[in-house]
Amino acid sequence: MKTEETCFLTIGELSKLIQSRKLSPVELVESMLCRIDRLNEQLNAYITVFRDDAVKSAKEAEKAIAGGSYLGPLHGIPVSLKDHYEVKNKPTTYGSPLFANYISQKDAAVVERLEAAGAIIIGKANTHELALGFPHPLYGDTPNPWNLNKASGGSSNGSAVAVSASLCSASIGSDGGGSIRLPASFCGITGMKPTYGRVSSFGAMLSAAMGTVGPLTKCVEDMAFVMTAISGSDSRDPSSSDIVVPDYAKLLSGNVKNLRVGVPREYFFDDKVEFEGGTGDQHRVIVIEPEVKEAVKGAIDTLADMGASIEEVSLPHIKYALTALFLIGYPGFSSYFEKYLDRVQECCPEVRSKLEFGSMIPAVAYLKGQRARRIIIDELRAEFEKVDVIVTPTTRITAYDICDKSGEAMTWESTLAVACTAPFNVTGNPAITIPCGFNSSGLPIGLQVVGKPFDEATVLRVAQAYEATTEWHLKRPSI
Amino acid sequence: MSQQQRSSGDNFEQLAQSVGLELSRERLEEFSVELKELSNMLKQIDDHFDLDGIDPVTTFQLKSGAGQ
Repeated sequence: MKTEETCFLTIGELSKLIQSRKLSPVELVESMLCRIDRLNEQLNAYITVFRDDAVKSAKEAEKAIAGGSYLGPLHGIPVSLKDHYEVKNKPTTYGSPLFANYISQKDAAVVERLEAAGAIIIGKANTHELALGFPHPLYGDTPNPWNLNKASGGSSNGSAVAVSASLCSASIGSDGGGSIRLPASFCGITGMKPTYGRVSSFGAMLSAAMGTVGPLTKCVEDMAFVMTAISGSDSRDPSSSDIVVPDYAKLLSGNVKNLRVGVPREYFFDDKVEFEGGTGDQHRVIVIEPEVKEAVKGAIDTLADMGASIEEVSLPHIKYALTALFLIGYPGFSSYFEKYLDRVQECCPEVRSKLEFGSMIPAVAYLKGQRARRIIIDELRAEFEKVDVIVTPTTRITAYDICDKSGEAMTWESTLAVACTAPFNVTGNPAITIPCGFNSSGLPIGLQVVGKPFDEATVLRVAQAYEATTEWHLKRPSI
Repeated sequence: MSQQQRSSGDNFEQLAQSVGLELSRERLEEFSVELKELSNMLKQIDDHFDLDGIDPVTTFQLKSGAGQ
């Protein structure tokens, strides 16, 4: 096997080679570092690469495995982190000049768990500034590996590009409105927002009561491996749940027979949705690209052919989840970064605007968002008594052009892009995106599968069963 | 600038200062646009939700739905 070809393998494939000592973690990490050296200038996926530490960890993994201490499927596997996670004695920038010189004093919980499973942290992936939807010029944007003139979404854009371009085997992102699922969909890979409380947020920068830690991987089985490793309770995170974590990979049955798959009647598949947001008196219209609709409907037909029961569900209030998210999320971010507000002029204009705006939202408006949120949660919970999962497009659009928008246009474009993902941050349910096709320009399209709280197992089961009947996840960009 | 606009701008400036923001006059004027956006958001909620008797979500911890 050529050295670089190992970079393209899934964790499932690599782990078999590593466990049987046909592939050394040192060889794998060095191959990955060579590929990063060759492509990172073009893709800008990494802010920091832990070259020496990764090779050292790989040598330790090699020695441990040779000595019979194989830890499991992540042992010796190179994983990157969105630069929103703390790694002791390493820089953590959050993609912002506000933290350009910040050195972490602790490891995030997800780092501890990955290392306990034997994974090798290979570096910190690029990200939108403070996860607020825009890249700061200091760190730059990350072109989409499928078309370098297109955006890779965000805010876990570096993570998605790194996985898609095989610059790591998996990455850990974060998702407060779609920040894992949007870039994963744009880049043709798998991305999961777990249930709120499933993965400890200790040592992570997340939006209050909206954001979750989650993985981006090449396929659903890899997602199951990483989710099993990082999930579970943590006394340092008060929102963390002690609900038992199963071995997700063992529950991938490949079978959806008699599972009830819900398809929303409203909003997600509407050709046009009028949105009374934005500024002034403008009515904005969210359209769905016909090729996206066709691909997602095709995926639903596939699930039906496999024996799933397709049921219509009704979620009349979900259209306003995005509004609730803004009312709750903006003040949340402004509160989180309150002590940096006197340096907010260092942020890019769009991020500065959001932080300032969030700090001025009245408490009554914030609580109105939280009251609307309760209705949206209850409505979804009631529909989940009739079905096991709900499926939607991940985004109504494919990747948009990179760096050709004014702030206002770009603000709207990025808002539109999370219209299908943000509702499940408001409700807290688990949701995954998997590739379900490409448009005529060769850009990936994502299918979103949403589950009941803490039922990641069923979400993964449906996603893997669909994936097993298709070849979308096997395609890779020609970069 | 009308008396009313000036007064509104002054109030806004005081509010900004109270939360630790030092905003330029130009930025304060931009805020009137963002305030309109906030007003639109609140109107959407008022128009489409019956919030009477609805408690806000204050602590967010979900119960397991798995196996239902």
